[in-house]
Amino acid sequence: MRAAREALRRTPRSAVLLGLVAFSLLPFAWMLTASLEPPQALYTAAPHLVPRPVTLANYASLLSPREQGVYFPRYFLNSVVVAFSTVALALLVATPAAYAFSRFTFRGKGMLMYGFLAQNLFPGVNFLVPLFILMTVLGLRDTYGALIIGYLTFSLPLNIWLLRGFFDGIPPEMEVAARLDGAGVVRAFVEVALPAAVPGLVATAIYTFILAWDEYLYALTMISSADMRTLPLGLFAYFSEGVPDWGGLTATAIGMSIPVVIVFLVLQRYFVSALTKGALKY
Amino acid sequence: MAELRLEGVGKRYGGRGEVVALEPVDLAVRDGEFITILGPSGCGKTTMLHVIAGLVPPSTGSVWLDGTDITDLDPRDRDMAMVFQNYALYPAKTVRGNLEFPLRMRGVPRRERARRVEEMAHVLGLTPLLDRLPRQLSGGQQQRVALGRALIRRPRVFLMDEPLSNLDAKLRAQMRGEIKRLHRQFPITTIYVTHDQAEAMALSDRVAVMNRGVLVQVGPPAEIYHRPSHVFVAGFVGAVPMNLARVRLHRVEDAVECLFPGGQRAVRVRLDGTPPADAAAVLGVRPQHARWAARPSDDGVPWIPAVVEDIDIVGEESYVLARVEHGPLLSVLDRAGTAAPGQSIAIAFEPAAVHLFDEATGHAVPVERVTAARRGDSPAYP
Ligand SMILES: Nc1ncnc2c1ncn2[C@@H]1O[C@H](COP(=O)(O)OP(=O)(O)OP(=O)(O)O)[C@@H](O)[C@H]1O
Ligand SMILES: [Mg+2]
Repeated sequence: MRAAREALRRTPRSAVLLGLVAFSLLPFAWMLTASLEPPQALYTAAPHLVPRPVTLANYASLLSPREQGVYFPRYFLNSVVVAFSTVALALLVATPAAYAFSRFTFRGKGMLMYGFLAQNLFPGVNFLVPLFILMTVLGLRDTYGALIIGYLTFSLPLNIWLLRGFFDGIPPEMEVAARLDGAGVVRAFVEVALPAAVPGLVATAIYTFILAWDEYLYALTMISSADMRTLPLGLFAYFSEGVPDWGGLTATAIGMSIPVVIVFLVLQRYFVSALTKGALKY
Repeated sequence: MAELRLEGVGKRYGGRGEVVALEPVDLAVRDGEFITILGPSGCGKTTMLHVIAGLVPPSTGSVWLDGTDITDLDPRDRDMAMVFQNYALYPAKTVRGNLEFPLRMRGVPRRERARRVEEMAHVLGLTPLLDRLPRQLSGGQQQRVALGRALIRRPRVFLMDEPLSNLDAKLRAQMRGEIKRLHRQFPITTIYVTHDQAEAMALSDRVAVMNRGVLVQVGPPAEIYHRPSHVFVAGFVGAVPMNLARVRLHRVEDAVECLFPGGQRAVRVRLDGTPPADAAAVLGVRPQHARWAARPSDDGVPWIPAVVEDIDIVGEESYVLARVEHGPLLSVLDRAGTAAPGQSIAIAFEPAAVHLFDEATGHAVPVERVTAARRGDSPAYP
């Protein structure tokens, strides 16, 4: 009886939560459905969530070469190279920079920090033309380099801000103790501060990864040859051939989402702890 | 051997040095001594400790260790260890990793490291916890790891910054005993910072009381307690605050009468020097050195009329808080336990235990203590 009343009391809240979950998952589910049925099913049948008939043809077509021998695996590889390089370089530069901003005082510190912030306040489109010219001059257009450097200019400032916040949340006494225990500045950073900042590093890495993985407009500007396309560009290729190939499109989209989901599932633990730590301080 | 000496060490912050964190102080700490820096929040205790550790360069003065000027020496070359208020354990290292770290940094070979970690863990009762991470430990256990990490390499100087303030009262008392025991076992020169006067009194060979960046008095706990050299020390030290009241000094024959603002006679003392006529001063009496009665008796000391306002119960003792008309609220140890709010009573001070302080500077005015009671009067105290 009591259990029943308890359940009843909880019902409204559960309903709201369920609604929200459905709202965010439904497009994804529909995408999954569309990717598992023949393209015509999308037009003929009433909206439905169970694919009929089920077919893997769309996925199979991903693995067969399209125009000029370029196909999904190539886009995927391009995206992986670009996204992972961006994340690695961003962390490599932003982590020591953020640490320095958090722990040391130096001339121009405040101005630099706000400079980074200001850069983030401008719409990214503003940088499109300057970066295009720059990459042309550097002869980097249509290369991984153009994408990686471009994504770094977008993500580094926020990386530094985020990581600085995490380092600020780590009591400096730990490193002071390490210094007294005989460690040098670098040692105290690497052995003591860095391990304590892992959740923050992971959260920042995920943020950068998604930025680089999903980016479309900048890539469209920089990349002209088909075999340099990243996944978002590859995705758009399905529109440019007259009638959209919904099957191929959704299958590509699913293939593109899977790495993000996997990264998130694996690192979720850190991500949550980073978010809550930022909120609570300590 | 580690004898630490501060010579005129001061610290100012801010662009033009407008924030004085520490006025220039001189302090000599003997080898193996346990000295406590005691003072309220913001008085410069941590600043002093950080200057000693080399974490903060002093604005003036120099720091000497065993006759060597170490003012500009890097922290890691000073061979000092520090325990922090929040323990500052390395969160990604196990208890073993934490204890081992200082040894590893100093190039102690692996075998020797393992032996000393085991030994220290044994001393502190941490043996079963060696493979845990700091966040899997209770506050008291973390505190013990922090102590162990600081002690394991036998530093020349051991610095502790309010190491017990994050613990609950019971654990604090227990750890206090532990620290005392450790110091007996490893007699390392120790500078201990606290704002808890009871902790300072219980642990120290000597206490250095600080206020607003100034070192006010340095001495053994008993001296600090019984002979405060400054009104600040008088008010700060003691489980129950000392009564401090403004009085006028009035010369009578060969002695001095202390009068409350309402004109009541508080106590009669004899001063070493002659006070200026009608000088103002601050009179200090601990509640334990005052008594009350329903009506004054004729025993030669002045009795002060007062009205009970409240009864304050502190632990097993209770204190009568009574107001002197136009004067201060006095706290008196209630030995009889029969006072009731609203009751009119009389209060008498033990003349041998009163303190006088200069109203302007706060410095103690030397009182010749034994002379106050006249010949033949022998006030009885339990
Ligand atoms: N980096 C700094 N910049 C400016 N002022 C500072 C700095 N560090 C300390 N101060 C000031 O110096 C004074 C002494 O600080 P300190 O930390 O030594 O106090 P404390 O006695 O340790 O206090 P608590 O008991 O609260 O820890 C304070 O008024 C503080 O505001
Ligand atoms: Mg402090």
